[in-house]
Amino acid sequence: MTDDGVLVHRCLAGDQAALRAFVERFQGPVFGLCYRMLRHRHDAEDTAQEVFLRAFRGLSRWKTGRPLEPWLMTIAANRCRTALRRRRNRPVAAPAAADAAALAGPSGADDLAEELERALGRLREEYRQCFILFHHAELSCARIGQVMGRPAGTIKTWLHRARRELADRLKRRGIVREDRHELQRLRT
Amino acid sequence: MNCNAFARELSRMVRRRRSDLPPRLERHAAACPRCRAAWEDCVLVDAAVSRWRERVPKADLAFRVLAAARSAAAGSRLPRADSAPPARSQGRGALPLAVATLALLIVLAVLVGQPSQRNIARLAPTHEASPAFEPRREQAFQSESVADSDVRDGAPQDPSGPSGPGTLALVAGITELVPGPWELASALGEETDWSADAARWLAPWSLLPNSDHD
Repeated sequence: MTDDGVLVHRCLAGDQAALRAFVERFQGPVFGLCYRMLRHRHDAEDTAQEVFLRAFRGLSRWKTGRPLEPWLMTIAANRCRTALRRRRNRPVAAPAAADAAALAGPSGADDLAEELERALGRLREEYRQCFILFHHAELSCARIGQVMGRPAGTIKTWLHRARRELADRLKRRGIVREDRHELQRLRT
Repeated sequence: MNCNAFARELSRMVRRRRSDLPPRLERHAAACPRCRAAWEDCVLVDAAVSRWRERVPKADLAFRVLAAARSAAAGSRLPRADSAPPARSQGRGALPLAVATLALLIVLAVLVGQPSQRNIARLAPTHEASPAFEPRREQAFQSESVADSDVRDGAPQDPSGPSGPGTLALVAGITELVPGPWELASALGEETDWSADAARWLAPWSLLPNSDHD
């Protein structure tokens, strides 16, 4: 039995330590996805909590032998999309200043991560979600299509357009490729 | 290899999360500036993504998730950070609360109407004789800037007065239900000497050290 299988088996047996280990093991990627999708720490924490509770309730349906993280990330993606739908009814248009700084990174420096986050914020919502689910949650196009209720072909197109728009925006901000692995800001 | 094939291969590489350009694609990119630009864009985004993925703030959710799980297991609702009450609970509680409030308002309205008339009827004979009744009403509804002398001098009062509209009427009724010393004194037909009363009330303070009273 895999590590995931052992952990799930212990969780299903009601082992509190296993439940804690489950949360501690996956809270990074789950919270990260929620935070990227919702751009609001408070909402991300609430949604991540919901994700774990739903996962606990659905653990018995998890098929042993399949990787646990993509399953969990799919739940997280669905919960985030639900939270975003709910949010449309209340005015939380932009992340708070503290959240925006945190999204850019702990240093707050004007660097590549910050530029990408800023560019992501200007993408179409579908493109943004598609990009985050692909690059942060590492879901496949087929799985993203299931989550977003679109054919995989549409997701591929959205992903391609998202990447192209992001590249254009980054270049407009003065970021260019210096060599294969290093990028440098022209504008300081 | 033509440019369309290059673009298809590049998209496939992205979907497979591969970053190394195969030699045949590299050869095409070296010869085609447009495809080379597309490849450079791809590398640019991948580099940004790798930095961006590292920049997620941490959160320690174990405690709250386990607490919420225990609550859920106990059948109670899950705690939320924003502590907003759930909408369905509000919906359930709203109707009984509205009915209870309406009933209370009706009862109060009935009570206010009857006793205030009784009070007026009971106090009517002494009302004219005792101007002390008026300050009580005035203090209830008018600002404190109103001079007592104006009231005591028998300035004309609006009979409906502050008990006219809405909330003030309700407050007026409740105020009238609870007789103050002025009303009691008036009802008992006592003469109220305000200056004597004031001197009597202030007398203990004059015994205090550092008092301004001599």
